[in-house]
Amino acid sequence: MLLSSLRLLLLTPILSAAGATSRLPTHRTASTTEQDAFYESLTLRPLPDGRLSVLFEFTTYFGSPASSSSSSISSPIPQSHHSLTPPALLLPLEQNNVSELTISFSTGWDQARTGISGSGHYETSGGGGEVRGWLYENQDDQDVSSGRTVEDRWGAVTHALGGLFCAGLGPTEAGENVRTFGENYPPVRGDTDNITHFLLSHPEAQLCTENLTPFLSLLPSKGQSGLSALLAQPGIIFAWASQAEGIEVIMPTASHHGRWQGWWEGIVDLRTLNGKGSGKRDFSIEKIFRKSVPRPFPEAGGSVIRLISDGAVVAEPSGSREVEERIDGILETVLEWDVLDERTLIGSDIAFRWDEDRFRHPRTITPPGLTTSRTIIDRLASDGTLRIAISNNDEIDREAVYSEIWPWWVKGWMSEVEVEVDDAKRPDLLESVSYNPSIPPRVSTTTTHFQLRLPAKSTVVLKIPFTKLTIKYTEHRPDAERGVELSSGVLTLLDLDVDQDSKGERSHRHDGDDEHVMSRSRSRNPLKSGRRRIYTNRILLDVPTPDFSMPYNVIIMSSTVMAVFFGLMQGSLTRKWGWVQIQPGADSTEAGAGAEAKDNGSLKEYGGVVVGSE
Amino acid sequence: MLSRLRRRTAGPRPDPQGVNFTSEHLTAAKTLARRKQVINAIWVRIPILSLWSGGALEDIADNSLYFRFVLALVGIIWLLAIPYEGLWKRTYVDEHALQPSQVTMYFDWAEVHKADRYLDTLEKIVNGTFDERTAFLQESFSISGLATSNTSTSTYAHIRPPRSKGTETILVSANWVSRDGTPNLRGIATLLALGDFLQGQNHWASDLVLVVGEGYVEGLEGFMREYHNLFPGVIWTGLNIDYPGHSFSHLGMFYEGVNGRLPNQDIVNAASNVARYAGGVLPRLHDVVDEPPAGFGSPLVQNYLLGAKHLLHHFAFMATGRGSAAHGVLARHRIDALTLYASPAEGPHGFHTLGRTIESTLRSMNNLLERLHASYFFYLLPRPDQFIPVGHYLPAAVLLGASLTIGGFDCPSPLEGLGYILPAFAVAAVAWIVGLHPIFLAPVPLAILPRPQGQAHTSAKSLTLLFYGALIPTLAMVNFPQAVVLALISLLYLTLPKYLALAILAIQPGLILALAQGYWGLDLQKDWLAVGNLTWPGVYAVWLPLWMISVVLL
Repeated sequence: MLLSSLRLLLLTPILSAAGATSRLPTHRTASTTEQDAFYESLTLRPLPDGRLSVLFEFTTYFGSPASSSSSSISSPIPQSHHSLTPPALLLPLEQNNVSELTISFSTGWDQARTGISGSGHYETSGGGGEVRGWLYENQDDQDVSSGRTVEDRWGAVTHALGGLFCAGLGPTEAGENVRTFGENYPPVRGDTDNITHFLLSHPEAQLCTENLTPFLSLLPSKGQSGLSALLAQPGIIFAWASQAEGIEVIMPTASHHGRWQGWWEGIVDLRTLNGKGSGKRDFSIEKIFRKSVPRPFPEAGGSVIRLISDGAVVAEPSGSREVEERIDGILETVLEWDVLDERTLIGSDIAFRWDEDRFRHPRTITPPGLTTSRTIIDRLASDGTLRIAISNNDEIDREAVYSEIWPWWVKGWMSEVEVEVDDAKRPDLLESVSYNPSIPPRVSTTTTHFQLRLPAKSTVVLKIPFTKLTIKYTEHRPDAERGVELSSGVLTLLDLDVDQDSKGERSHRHDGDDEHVMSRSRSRNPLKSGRRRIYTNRILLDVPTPDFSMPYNVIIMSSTVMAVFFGLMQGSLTRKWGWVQIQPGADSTEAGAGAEAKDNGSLKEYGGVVVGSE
Repeated sequence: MLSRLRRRTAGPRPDPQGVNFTSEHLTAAKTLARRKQVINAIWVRIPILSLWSGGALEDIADNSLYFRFVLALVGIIWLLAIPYEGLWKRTYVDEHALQPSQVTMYFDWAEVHKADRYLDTLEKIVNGTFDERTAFLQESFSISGLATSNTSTSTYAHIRPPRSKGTETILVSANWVSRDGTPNLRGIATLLALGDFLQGQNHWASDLVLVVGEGYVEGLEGFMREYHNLFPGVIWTGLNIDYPGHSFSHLGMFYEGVNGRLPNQDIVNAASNVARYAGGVLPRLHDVVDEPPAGFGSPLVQNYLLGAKHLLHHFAFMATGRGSAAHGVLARHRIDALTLYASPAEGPHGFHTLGRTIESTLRSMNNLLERLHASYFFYLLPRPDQFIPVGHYLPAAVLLGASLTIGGFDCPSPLEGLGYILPAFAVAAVAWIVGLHPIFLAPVPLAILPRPQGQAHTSAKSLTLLFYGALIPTLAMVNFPQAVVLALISLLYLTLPKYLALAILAIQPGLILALAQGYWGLDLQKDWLAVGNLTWPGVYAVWLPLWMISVVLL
């Protein structure tokens, strides 16, 4: 049941050969260009709580089918010519026969306060770092002869890219790789033959300043020009909230172009931007970035600044075109400024204003269609219960799979999993469970997938009791008393209307048909959303930890000494020592000398054996 | 001493004629003889142990009595020596991550002004209903830009700083009722001002949850019971604000939690350090004036008396297992927490000092990468900047416990003895189940329980001594003052001469509890029901059986 429904998703071509995503400013197909192409965009989205989401996206198409195949045939020496693509990124992928790869780092996203179910870029994973991808199975003669398994190649590519991102992305042990999430992250090309999925979650990882420089170095503009010049300011970027960074690479095949996309997102608090007391949330490019609109990157095929707004924001100068786009299932109006076309923008500023005297923080914020929260209740040193609350605020029932990744020492009591709505048990909502336990003693992960039906306008609570198994002394991390972060849970939506991708809804307002667009403005259809996955928060799990401090060492040291000498002390205190007379002839070697011994009432003769006790 | 032992003759010389000994035999013989002498020397000098060395059985009672008396005496002397400065050490901050008083503080007069504005409204609604009060609090938090809601007995706000991962949380609370019993309006005003002040600051690594609880502890306890349904973050540390007066002269550190659980000493040390050096206000322990009493001659005596005064306050909270202020309920949830109590005075400090102290303390807590640990949970604080490490006070309780245990070694018939002890525990258990106040158990030992005679009497008494002797040092590790009180009660009940003991046993535990409730308002039963203070069940499980057995054994 679970597998079949996921399969439906999997087999749906998510991205056509054209490879265009909804976010791309221009429609591009593989047939139109032979060469590599680069597009960039900056999307600004005001959030209801007085903050602003700032999302940079950089997309490069590369490796046209014809040229890549011809070059490998024409020359016996492998050649790699790169114009817009970063060799540091693509070579390890090529070497290790990777089909698709996604790396993302993110810090938490407050669903309740932003009115959005997650990060602005749909491929951003849950909290911490994550690397996932599809690798070709061993077909290559070279791989088979060198004895490199697909797991080895996965290790090699994650370690290589970990170095690139200054973060330990690779598995410390092979068992940390998660192999059961392929159906949560179906391949973009939709073809699962001969490819296998890997996922590695690093919930403890942080997006940090060291991640920005490598990210910029992958871009053709290197942070020198174009929109990336706005991003290349660590002092500003890292003061933002809810950061997310990611890259997604889809390698070219004989028939398809390759594509790699990088994104960076942050949340700017507009109230502090204007001074806390001012009560204003007006902003401008210069206010946010302390830079005017930079000159475009000469090789860029598109360079667009976008504003997603419900019309309350007034922009000066106003954007050149308005497009309609479905974002999280809501048909939004997007105002666009094409920097390539409008040369007058360069070096100037774009200001955004609200028509309001004073911003008043809303008492309640309309929640997005689906929100999740995950907490641990019944906390004990050895046990706990994961409580996952999934709120469906829409008017329709939803189908979804909720997935968890646990370290080996978290043992879920799968027979005691409960599903509740309003404190009433609803086992009927749990349609199937897939449980892949870890296999001790090898370090491995446990993964679980729960297929759930989420009734309209209700909160489904999934309770999973678990026990923490004892961790070996050497398995504790440094700062052991901190506990261990659990990866975000993933809610994968099964019922999305993927055939009608958001780009199908797209229309340009200046093409006419204003009335039609206005009537559909902000219409909401939760099924027509590109967001396939909603992530829960990370969680810090307390681990029963021995005290690794100095007194503890003293205690174990002295306990050891006591244990070692216990026998001696016990013997000394409870036994009485003396001489035992051995009867002559009792032992052949001693017998001759055994002789008559004088016994003066106490035992003090020397026999062969001198130990006695009472 | 060893060399002297070695030179001694080890028994009669072996006879070379009779035995074909080798040099190995000779060495073994010497070793054995030496060991025998050493052990004999010890056995002779410790009368109680002579049981195994073949001493006469009837001597044991006398010897053990003598030995027990010495142990108890040393224990009591040790106990009395605890306030002596020689056993103290200067406090220090053990967890280097805390870095107290090392940050620039931003809480300033603008925030003080806001707190004053909040205070104006709070004074108007202090006698309102819960709905009115929570509506105002939520409105204020919401205007500050915080997510806010309420439980049935508390109002809370959630600060999510930009850089926080949301996996850890620091709790800051202020309750409507101060520990004085007066409204804690300025504490709540400080909390509201903090909410506005902290929102949007981006140097925090933890989330912060602000809680305004109804009543003195009820609201906070109610909130903590629901916390894990509401928030994912683990709480390591907490701070409770109690500011009943209009100004204050000192900041009192109330640190004892429910059931005698103390916060990690680093919390107390860091908060004191911050108050002194960042806030500019002198810290106090509880509300005890930290000045040596005049007119007692030498500073040694003065410091002894001052230390004893501090420790007596501490013992009063600990022995009854009550939290010294509202933060006490957090102890049960494994949160290292502290109440900052603004000692009411004519001045000179107010919102400014308190706000800066809280800000800096929270920044210290925010620095933590892991839970506070490092065996820093067992301590006594005789003065604000002095502490007594566990090794310096624990032996007192161990000695008292040992003096009881040794008395129980003479147990000729354990099973028979058990038959006289268990009924007392059973009666107490029944009383607990039916909810009978201890005072109604007064006639039980005289009316119901059987009185052992002869060997059974000796055995029952020995078993009682063994049980309580084992219990006291164990309890001392968790709650030293409670263990000392139990040790003293046990000694009075079980070891005094008959008529003296009778006089003491006549004061029934229930009577003492009723008097304590009448005079000091010490309602242990209410504490047990409201915040889970285990002293009340402890009375039934430990004290009442002891009293009944002692009466029976008279």
